[in-house]
Amino acid sequence: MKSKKKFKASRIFQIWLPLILFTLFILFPYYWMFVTSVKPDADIISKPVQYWAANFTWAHYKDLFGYFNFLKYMGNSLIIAVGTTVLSLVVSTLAAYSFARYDFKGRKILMCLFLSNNMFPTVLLMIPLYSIMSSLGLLYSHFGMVLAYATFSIPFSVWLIQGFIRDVPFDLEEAALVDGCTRRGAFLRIFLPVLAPCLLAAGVYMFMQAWNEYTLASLMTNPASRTIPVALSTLIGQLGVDWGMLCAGGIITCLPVIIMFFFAQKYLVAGMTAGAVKG
Amino acid sequence: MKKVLALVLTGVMVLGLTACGSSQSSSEAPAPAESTAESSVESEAPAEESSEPVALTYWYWADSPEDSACIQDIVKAYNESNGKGITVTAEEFPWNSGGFMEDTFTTIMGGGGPDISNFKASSGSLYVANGLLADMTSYVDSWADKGQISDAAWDVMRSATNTETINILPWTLEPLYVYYRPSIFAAAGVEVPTTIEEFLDVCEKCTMDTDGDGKTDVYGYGMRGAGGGQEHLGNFLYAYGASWDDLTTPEAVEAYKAYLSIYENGWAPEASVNAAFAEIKDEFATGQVAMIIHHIGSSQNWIDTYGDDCDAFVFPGSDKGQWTCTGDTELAIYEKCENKDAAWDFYTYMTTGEGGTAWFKHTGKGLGTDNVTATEEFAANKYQAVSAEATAVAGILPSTETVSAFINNTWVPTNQAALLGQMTAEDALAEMNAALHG
Repeated sequence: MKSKKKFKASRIFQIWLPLILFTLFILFPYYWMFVTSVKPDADIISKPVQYWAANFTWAHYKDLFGYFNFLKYMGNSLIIAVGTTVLSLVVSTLAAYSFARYDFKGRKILMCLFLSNNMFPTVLLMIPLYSIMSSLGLLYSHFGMVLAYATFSIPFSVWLIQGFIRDVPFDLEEAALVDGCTRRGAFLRIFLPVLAPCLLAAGVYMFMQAWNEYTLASLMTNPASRTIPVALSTLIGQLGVDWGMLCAGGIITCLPVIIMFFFAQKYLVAGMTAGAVKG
Repeated sequence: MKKVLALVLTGVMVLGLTACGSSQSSSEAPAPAESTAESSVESEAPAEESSEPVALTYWYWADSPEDSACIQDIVKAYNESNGKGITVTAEEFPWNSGGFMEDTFTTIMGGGGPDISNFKASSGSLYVANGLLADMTSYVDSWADKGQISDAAWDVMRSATNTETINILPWTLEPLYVYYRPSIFAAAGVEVPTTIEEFLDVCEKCTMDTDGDGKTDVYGYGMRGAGGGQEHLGNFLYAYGASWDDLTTPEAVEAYKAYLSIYENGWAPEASVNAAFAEIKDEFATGQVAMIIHHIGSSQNWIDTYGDDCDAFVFPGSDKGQWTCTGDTELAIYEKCENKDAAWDFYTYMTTGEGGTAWFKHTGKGLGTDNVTATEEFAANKYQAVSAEATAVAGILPSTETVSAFINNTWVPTNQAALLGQMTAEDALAEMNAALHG
């Protein structure tokens, strides 16, 4: 009995306390962002620092959704992120399936070429990408942004998904084919449901990348097609920062990603490590 | 397999050459001087005679949503009143800690970008070297209102691009000066300093423990140790007889040691090492510091916050020299702009026209042109006189090819290392000198 109590006490100090402290450390910036977003401007910069909102206000949120027109930017981000996710998932699933299941000439070189795109710093690709989008008349359009993001997300996803596909036994499709399924039918009815956790993981990853991306969006969007990160950065001026609205915007921006991650994290971790271990 | 690899590589090379070819052809566009000659002829014909509607794109950054709304109102008023069929579309882009200039550069090099934009003089050399800016000298020379803008302002424009031509156009100049709190000066028993030695003395005496708890509550100087702080170092350099031309001289070392001593002696807040404008603004707004260096752009803040308990003076020099950096925002008309007459018309509206007046009334920033000095706002703001006084000793950092890299990459880490004692003043200055002059 005594040793059980001692065991519990040691668990508190060795596991729970460090975990709680670490969690507080991780969550504090979010707490601070929220508190700043509900403080009046004067309280945000007051000294000594106020660790809670003594004069609670929703004014920054009202401004954000009022004259700042944040809903428009959220809509733009949503269209671009969803578009990128759908396009990238369709293309990379088919490409990954081909790479994993078919043996054709130049397969390995093509795989390496896919990856080489991700080896260039984004900054280096900005001028050519901008130039191409400009020539195609896709600048400042949602579709242009979707294409730009897909350029980066497809190669990564192809590698991710093909690693998972390699772990799925071919016998599964073979059995479907023997039972009279066509190749397409076997892919859609048998293979795709098995692939669902991996696709979910890749989809969440692509969505988060497109939702949070700043560098390309700062160049290839204008006030009409602007996404959230760029819109929020206009609150950081040369002479001052609108901390209240910036933090309110940050909180709103985080929410969809947090909710999505909360529901998908089990698949996200499983999908990311798929194919990493052979057994 | 090797054949496939060779084919792929050849394809990539051909694509690359095609891309280079297209950018080369765009750089083969008429040289600025040539197009200006044509433009200057065109400019003799009144723009009103142009029956064709003209569309211009104007990119700007704004320091607040209110500033952005003001720009939009100005542009809307211009579109409604110009009577020349000119329609300007104003689009806001993020300041992005100076990244605005890099982003605009990228877009123009990529074949897009605006016809006109806000501009920073420190990027002048880069843009001129790539032939992106229109030569507006002939427009300026034939402009009736040219004399309303000081010669110093035009000199700054020329020195920013290292050319004899005018490639960037002044919009607002904001020379730096010192804001101070008279009540803190009175409590410390000091007067407005007139020499650099007196300035350091004021920094020391204004550093006080006001509640007797053994901790400093008020610091003498709100030091901007991080982004933008290089502009403030210039005040010290010239006061000690040094200059930006060579940061390794004994005078420069003496000046930098005096600058560092403010932090080392605790006359500036500990957080100064990471402080940019937002931080020193907060320090001054909350009464933590007695003095900060800034320009007219923040004057309305201090009028609203402190009323009479805030005043200003020009940063003191010595018999060896005096200098202050001027904050600047220019307007640039790009070579790619197809109707420079219309762009010039918009520029004049934004300076000596109604646009310039409206912008001054909203921000307190301008060029001291007649339309500005005639306003009630100019007369009512005591800091405008100090700003005008500071213009006489104002300048900008030398427009070397590496000045942007010095500002963006070298200044902050090097100065922080020196402030924290991780680097000697001599080593830090040598590194800065190498970064600034290449």
